[in-house]
Amino acid sequence: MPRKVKPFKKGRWTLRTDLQDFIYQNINPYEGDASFLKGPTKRTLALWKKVEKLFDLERKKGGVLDIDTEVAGGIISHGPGYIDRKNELITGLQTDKPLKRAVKPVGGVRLVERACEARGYKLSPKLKEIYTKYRKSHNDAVFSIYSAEMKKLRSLGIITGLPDSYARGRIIGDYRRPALYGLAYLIKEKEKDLIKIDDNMSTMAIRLREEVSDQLQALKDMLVLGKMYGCDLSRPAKNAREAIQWTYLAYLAAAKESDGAAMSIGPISVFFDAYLERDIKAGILTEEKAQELIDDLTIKLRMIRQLRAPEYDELFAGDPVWVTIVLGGMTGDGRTKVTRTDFRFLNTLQNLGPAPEPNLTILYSPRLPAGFKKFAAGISINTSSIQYENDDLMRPLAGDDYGISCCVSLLKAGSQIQYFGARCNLPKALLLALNEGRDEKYGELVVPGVPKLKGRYLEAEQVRENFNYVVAWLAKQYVKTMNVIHWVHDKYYYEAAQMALLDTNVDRLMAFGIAGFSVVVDSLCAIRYAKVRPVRDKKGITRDFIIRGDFPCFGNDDERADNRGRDLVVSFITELRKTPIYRRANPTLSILTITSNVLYGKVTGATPDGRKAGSPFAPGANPMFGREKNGVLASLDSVSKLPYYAAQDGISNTFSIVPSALGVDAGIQKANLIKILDGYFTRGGQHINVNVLDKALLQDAMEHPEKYPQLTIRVSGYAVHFTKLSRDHQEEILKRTFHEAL
Amino acid sequence: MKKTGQLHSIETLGTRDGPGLRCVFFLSGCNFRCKFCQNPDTWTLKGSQKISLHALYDRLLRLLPYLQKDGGGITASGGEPSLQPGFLIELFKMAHNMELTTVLDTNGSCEPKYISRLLAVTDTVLLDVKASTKKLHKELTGGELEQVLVFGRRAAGRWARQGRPVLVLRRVLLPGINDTSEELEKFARYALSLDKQPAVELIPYHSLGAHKWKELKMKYPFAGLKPPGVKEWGRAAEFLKKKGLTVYKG
Ligand code: SF4
Repeated sequence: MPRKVKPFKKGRWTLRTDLQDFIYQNINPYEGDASFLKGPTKRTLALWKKVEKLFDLERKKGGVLDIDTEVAGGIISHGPGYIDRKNELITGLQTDKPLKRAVKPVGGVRLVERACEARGYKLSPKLKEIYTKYRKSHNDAVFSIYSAEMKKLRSLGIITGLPDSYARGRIIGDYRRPALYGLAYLIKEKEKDLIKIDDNMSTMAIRLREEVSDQLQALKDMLVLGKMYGCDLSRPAKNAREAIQWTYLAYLAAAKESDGAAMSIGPISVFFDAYLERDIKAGILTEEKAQELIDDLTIKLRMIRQLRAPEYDELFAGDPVWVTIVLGGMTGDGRTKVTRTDFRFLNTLQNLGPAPEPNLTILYSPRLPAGFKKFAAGISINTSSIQYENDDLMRPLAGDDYGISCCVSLLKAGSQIQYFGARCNLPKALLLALNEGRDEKYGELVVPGVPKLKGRYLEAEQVRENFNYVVAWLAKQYVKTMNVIHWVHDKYYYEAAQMALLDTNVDRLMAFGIAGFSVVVDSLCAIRYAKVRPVRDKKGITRDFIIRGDFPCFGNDDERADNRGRDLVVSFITELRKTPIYRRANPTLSILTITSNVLYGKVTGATPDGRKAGSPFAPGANPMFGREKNGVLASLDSVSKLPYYAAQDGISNTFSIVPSALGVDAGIQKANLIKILDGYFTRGGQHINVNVLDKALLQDAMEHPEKYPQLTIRVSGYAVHFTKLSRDHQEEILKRTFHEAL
Repeated sequence: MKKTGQLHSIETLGTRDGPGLRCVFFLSGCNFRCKFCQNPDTWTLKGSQKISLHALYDRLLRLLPYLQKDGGGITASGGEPSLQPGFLIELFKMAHNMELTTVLDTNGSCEPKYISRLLAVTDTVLLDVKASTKKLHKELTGGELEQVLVFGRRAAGRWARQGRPVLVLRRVLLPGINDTSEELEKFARYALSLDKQPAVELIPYHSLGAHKWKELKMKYPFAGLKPPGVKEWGRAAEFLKKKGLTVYKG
């Protein structure tokens, strides 16, 4: 017998937009185990089967099922679209057909053209004309502004992978707002904000006024999008299904408008839980139905697609979109944020099988309830589809309500954005220091004023001085380049839908990054502790290095190496802070490569640590393959020592272990994984990807991809279908250290 | 007090030789020459590093959050760790001060005058009894069986009286060599004669260490020996279980 639905507990959130307070008042912490969970319903399985068939078709067509080459993507450009209308609980697709991708030429018309061609399609001449003749695209605008130096740094692969030829992404709209408040309210609030922006019409005020006007239009478009699917988004959601549907449509609006590299969905789990538990208590929802809703949303999120240019695929392998969802965590007052819905999200990996998306991220604290830790550890061991990030480290910076952007980047929900900045190839910077500022591939002068090194062997002090000089010079160029890109992106490819769901005056971060971290640390150690003789060609450029003697390597809990790692991170961010940044954004730094470690390695010459020219870097902050001599904990400890305060955009660590090394049986494996996580995060580690896999399985999957359509593996901050990776990427993963039993 | 030792290597994640997570220290030097040795590179001090207790303390301190839970701690292995008794005893004392448990993986050849001091700081003894007849033991290992049996007896005696150290008898099962009924019979009789009855870990022989022999330019004596199958292992385990012993697979 349905009882009356109890209204939510009131608080500050009733007076103004304040999701954190809503959660604070209405959270239902859950300390139990997983026994309440339900499997998939027949309806879910039937729907999922249809989608799997589409995935299969997509795979067979080389990765893209279909492209709409005629209509430029936007919030209301397409739709409605369905998989199986009467059997869908949560509706909404990016275009009128499942997995059909829209083009977004405003990012760069030539890129879209190439992306279409690579898949055997042709961009409509009309669109091409519009975006060449009448409307400048982001990509064109950036290149019209770049200085000669910036172009050189980019084309030589020193500062690279930048969002000048793809959309920056990384912004997380607060997609929960329409569900809690309704769009009518949000529109009213934005209108009030707009009136207040004046500042004598300074350049910044003009810009913000234009942006807020765009945001208002986006909110109105969202209303239309809602109508297409029969939802009145102007009012708040009345029940759990509506809350999930409203939130999803808001996210969908963003994914239709923009093809940002990473588009996380943020902290939705605990929010949905408030609605789900309220409906269950009122007797209008059962556990089975609650799981169905989460399963259905997950199916939708697994279907988000963007059209990418081939260059993009090389950087970010496996066709990712980074629909990152955060689960777990604690509140500032010591309660846990783990709810039944956090279990339900993890349960989707059982109900629907493993998958890389949505990118499930557990905000970990050793204080999380034991039942949840155990369940998560078990899922990790079975699916290798979860990543963990340190809630105790991030909560003090972000408060109780935050999301993870892309892989490892902290963003306060609703009030903070970041300007994404890919990364600087640090081993190349080191080689510039050894070659009088000339690039090691072509001998081209990049950094003026780097003194020539004296002596037959590399001398630590000289190298250090040169390297510091190069880093300082590069950091300045890096900031300037980013200033250009994001000024242009804001102007030409503004993410109105996402920004409309954030506070009008947001806090901005500018996220810089470094790649090849452990290569440089080990190289500096080799120079300091062994004898390293550069082999130079006729032009005097280093071609190889002859190393005599042993040297400490990063990843062995050896302070000599680890201290160099710390120094490197701190000095890089210190240099970045010296140059003024666009819109007064705060610089942050990541040690994250995603899968670009393969490409960056390919274009980088031999390095003094003994790494051969062209071979991949280790991903993220990982130690180099095969140099970890003291086992798992030593390797983890080296990474966990890296100072998060200096790299607040995240420090990514990917950890692969064969099941038997974790313990003799499933129970012990789980318990030991929890101990490893507890230890790692107590020691201050920020992020860890956990893969529990046998190498042989991956080798088999390389040979027989058809047998493993769902095989998922964590790479660097996200997960991919292993069989969707290129051969190069697959081989790099096999080279990685798989910690084995004694 | 011996403050430095000769270390071969460290494995920071041991999950199989005792409770919790364990940091395993492989100490250099061995007085046996087992024909099936998986770590012949630990026999001599060549390539070993001198390490101070202080340095190990720093390392363990950093790893405490991993090791301290559920009775985790350190394991001393080798080589033969008891060949460095002074250092080993200090290492174990230090571990106890850090609330870490201590496991000793030994061939049982500790010099008698150190035995009681060593056992006093050991929580678990994993004692290799590689053969149970005098001749075979000598042949397989080059070492005397008697000292091994004495070490086990003293460990079990202390265990019975003082509750520590727990004793586990280990045997690497070499098919057709040390799994004969005579061998197993004697092995069981010894185990049952102790003051407190130890569990038995039967480790199927494997040849994964063979490449190390090659690297050291030595001939691997057991080159054709096949690892025991599930059946052979099961037969040996069954035999010991019938005698009333607890057997598990290593
Ligand atoms: S006692 Fe151990 S280390 Fe020594 S030879 Fe025998 S198996 Fe090798």
